Amino acid sequence: MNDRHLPTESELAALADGSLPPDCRERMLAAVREHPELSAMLAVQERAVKMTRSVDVKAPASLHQQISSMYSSPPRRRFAWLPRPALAGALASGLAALAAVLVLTLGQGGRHSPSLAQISALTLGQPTLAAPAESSTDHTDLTVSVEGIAFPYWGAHLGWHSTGRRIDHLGASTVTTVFYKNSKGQRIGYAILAGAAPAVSTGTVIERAGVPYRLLSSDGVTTVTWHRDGHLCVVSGRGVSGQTLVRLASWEHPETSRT
Amino acid sequence: MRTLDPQSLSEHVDRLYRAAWALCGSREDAEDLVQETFARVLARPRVLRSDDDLSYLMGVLRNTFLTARRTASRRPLKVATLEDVAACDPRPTGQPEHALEAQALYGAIATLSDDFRLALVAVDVLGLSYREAARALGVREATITTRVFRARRQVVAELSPEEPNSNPANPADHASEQKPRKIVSSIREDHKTGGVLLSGEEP
Repeated sequence: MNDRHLPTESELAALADGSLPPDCRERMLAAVREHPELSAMLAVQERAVKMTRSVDVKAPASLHQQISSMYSSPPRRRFAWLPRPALAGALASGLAALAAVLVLTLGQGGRHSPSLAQISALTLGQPTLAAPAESSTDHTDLTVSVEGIAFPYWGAHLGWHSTGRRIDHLGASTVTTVFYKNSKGQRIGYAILAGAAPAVSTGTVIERAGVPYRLLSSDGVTTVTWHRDGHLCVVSGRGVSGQTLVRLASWEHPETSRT
Repeated sequence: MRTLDPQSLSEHVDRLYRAAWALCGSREDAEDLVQETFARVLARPRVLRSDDDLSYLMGVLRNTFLTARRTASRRPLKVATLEDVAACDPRPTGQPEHALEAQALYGAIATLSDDFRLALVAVDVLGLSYREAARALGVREATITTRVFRARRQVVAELSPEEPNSNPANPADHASEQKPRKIVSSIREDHKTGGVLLSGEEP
């Protein structure tokens, strides 16, 4: 047989998955029939194709639901970082008043950063992803983190258990939020903004262990914000006292020091 | 040029989920990756140059996957212990036999190098043509076909090491994947025309 008719790797790959044009296909099959080595290689390719095509797992219903809920909200406009309608509905009147205060609280340099109101809105939204578990290596943390800043595990000592999480994009910024619930049914959200933190300039400052926590409250929504390793953190809850939020935000495990 | 219709994307969720699973090697990460991909796509109106939504989604999936991995690699590493080893996914799927097959297959695909993995996922898992896959991944079509050939061989070797001709990853696999190459050194016979090579072997 003439060498010119021996197939290339590309041709064998295409022969195996049926994408080779019919005229080439016949020529290649003839070459393969003459050479057991080529037949064996083709068999491997065909086996891989068959295995891959035979797997027909479906995405979980929860994922379909999450994505369906994304369609139900119109795409966000690129330069208008407003909460999605579904979230806005949940926030209703309480957040509106708070937003008027919070939107003015980020300092210079925040032009490309989301407003505190936007982040706070996310903490009052609904989780879209499963609850993170307690870290097996550090029992003060959950398994979810943002650029090395882990979300705290409060379950054993404080009775606030993680119930879910979500990841949102506000313009170029990514906000990861973990939701917690206590035995009384109170619910809070803990958000960490990826990237450099904008400065926060208003609110009542409460200093604990040298860290300034800024407390803002309006219409039953309480928000505490502070910085952890240069990242903006926001904890908000409806009907939860500022004292509770500051205590949670500043909590340190008795045997561990959290920065 | 046309604007992407968000409602039309729902039909691709299952295929994108399988592609994400093969990229990540785990169901949980796949769910996150698909959700993140859709969040990116739906964040603003998208104008596409072709009619093919799926190849566009593959491009976004690829970018999201690589970005997520880069971000993860910047996090400080914690020392893992035996307890860190993930247990079997306890969630029911309703298709246990399929889940088992998928876990084995996608686990094998996830061990491939990024280039091979992305090519195989685009063509064999997502079902793109070689041309569409090349466009989605930003490489030449010939490169895609070669990568798919070698990726398939490595996956079969991973899943059935006894298989002849499914020799595992060859360090030279990346060396000349741009050139369409002829195969099988043993068919060199005596005539010296043509460069007939076993993949990975240099003359």
